Amino acid sequence: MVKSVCEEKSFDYLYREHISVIRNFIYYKCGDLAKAEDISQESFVRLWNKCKEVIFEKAKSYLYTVSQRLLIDQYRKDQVNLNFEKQQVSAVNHQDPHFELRTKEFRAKIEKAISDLPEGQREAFLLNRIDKYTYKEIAVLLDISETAVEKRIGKALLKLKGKIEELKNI
Amino acid sequence: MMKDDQEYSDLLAKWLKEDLSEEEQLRLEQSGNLDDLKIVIEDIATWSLPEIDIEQKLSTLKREHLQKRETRVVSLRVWMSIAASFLLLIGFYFGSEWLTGDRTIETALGEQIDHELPDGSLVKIDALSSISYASDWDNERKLKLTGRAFFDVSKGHVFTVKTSLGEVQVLGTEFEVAAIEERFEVSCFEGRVQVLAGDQSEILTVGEAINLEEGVLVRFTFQNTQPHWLKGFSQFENAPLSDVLTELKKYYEIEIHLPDKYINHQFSGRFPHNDLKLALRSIFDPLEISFTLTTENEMIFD
Repeated sequence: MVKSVCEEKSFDYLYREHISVIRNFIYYKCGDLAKAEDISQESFVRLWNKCKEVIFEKAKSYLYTVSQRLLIDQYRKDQVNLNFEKQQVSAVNHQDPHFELRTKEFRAKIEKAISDLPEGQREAFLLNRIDKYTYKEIAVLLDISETAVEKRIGKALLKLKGKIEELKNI
Repeated sequence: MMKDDQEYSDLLAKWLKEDLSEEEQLRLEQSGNLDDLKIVIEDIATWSLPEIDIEQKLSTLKREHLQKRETRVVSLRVWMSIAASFLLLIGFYFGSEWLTGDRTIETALGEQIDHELPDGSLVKIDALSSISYASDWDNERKLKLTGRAFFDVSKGHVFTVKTSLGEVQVLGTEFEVAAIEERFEVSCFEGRVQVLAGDQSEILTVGEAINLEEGVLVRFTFQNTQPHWLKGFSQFENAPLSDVLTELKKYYEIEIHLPDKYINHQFSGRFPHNDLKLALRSIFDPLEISFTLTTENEMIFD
């Protein structure tokens, strides 16, 4: 039996499987969490309405395409300011040779540096780091080659490395 | 040495996914220390975004946004509402005929419940309503309803919803039934539905509705594609204020003693189910009736 997106079970499965990462993905692009929530939810409404046309195996890429298009339609912002929930740094341990890399202030600056990355690098980098997507998975959902993903992430790392050195030398 | 940034960043990307050859590893190491970057990268991997309450969002999505599909051959929806006081008036009560409900699901004030029937059919039950059905469900798909509900019926033999004023019959389909005090109303949103009341029988198709007025089924048409209550609000057109307040009390714990002078007022408009103050203003502001609300949610009229 071919699974149909119109089947509630299939739809629910797709929702549970993808809603979080789509929300995150849109957030990485626009830096607006409420917007990201709305758009990710709306992308599933669109999927439902098109459930007869979108085959199950293509549903994921449909969702990513639609959510990106919704974002473009609704919203353009050059400057994003991403905010992440971070694990509490307990009292700074000065024995730790790298303690300065773990302070709240340093993390905020890294967060800012990530926010300042070009959109393509930012989303690829964060999908890999936060959502644990492989380069290959990212390539599929962004509809670009794996090499392109590698280039984007490499550039992001290079900038980040430069930023760390700059911050440490202040 | 590195030729350029391009090559270096390519190596960094491979380094991150641990896919470097020994020779590449060596070249990368010669070009600088990566300890700090590694620590930062690992830290970032622990960052997160607020967790989504997936189940809650999914049910919100279904409740508010998703139109029911029309993939089935026969597919229809019915909407019916019913009057408890009305039924006394026309002497129509056949409570004793109702099924011996082995399973009863009841909703509280302001509550809506999704319930799956034994055959996989789905019922969405509105506030202050109840459904019950017998254990021999498989032989006869029949249930009784008071209040209001939406049915998504899976294919099979006849599916019957009984209310005290009439019943609705469908063949493997989707439909919706609602029963509220003060009126008996059936509206068909999709396909066809048969409405039985006393010795009267009417078939409705999309956009057609029926109202029981003084014991007579009266047809009318409507525009909306989905009942309003499924979207979180109630809508009225030239409805007696008392009907509107009866509906309001299904969703809010509120004490209202409407002064006689307002009894003949008619209301056209809607009110939301999740914001009492807004709901009251939506109803009373257009009617230019002023009031105050006590902390015990009792309305005081001037």
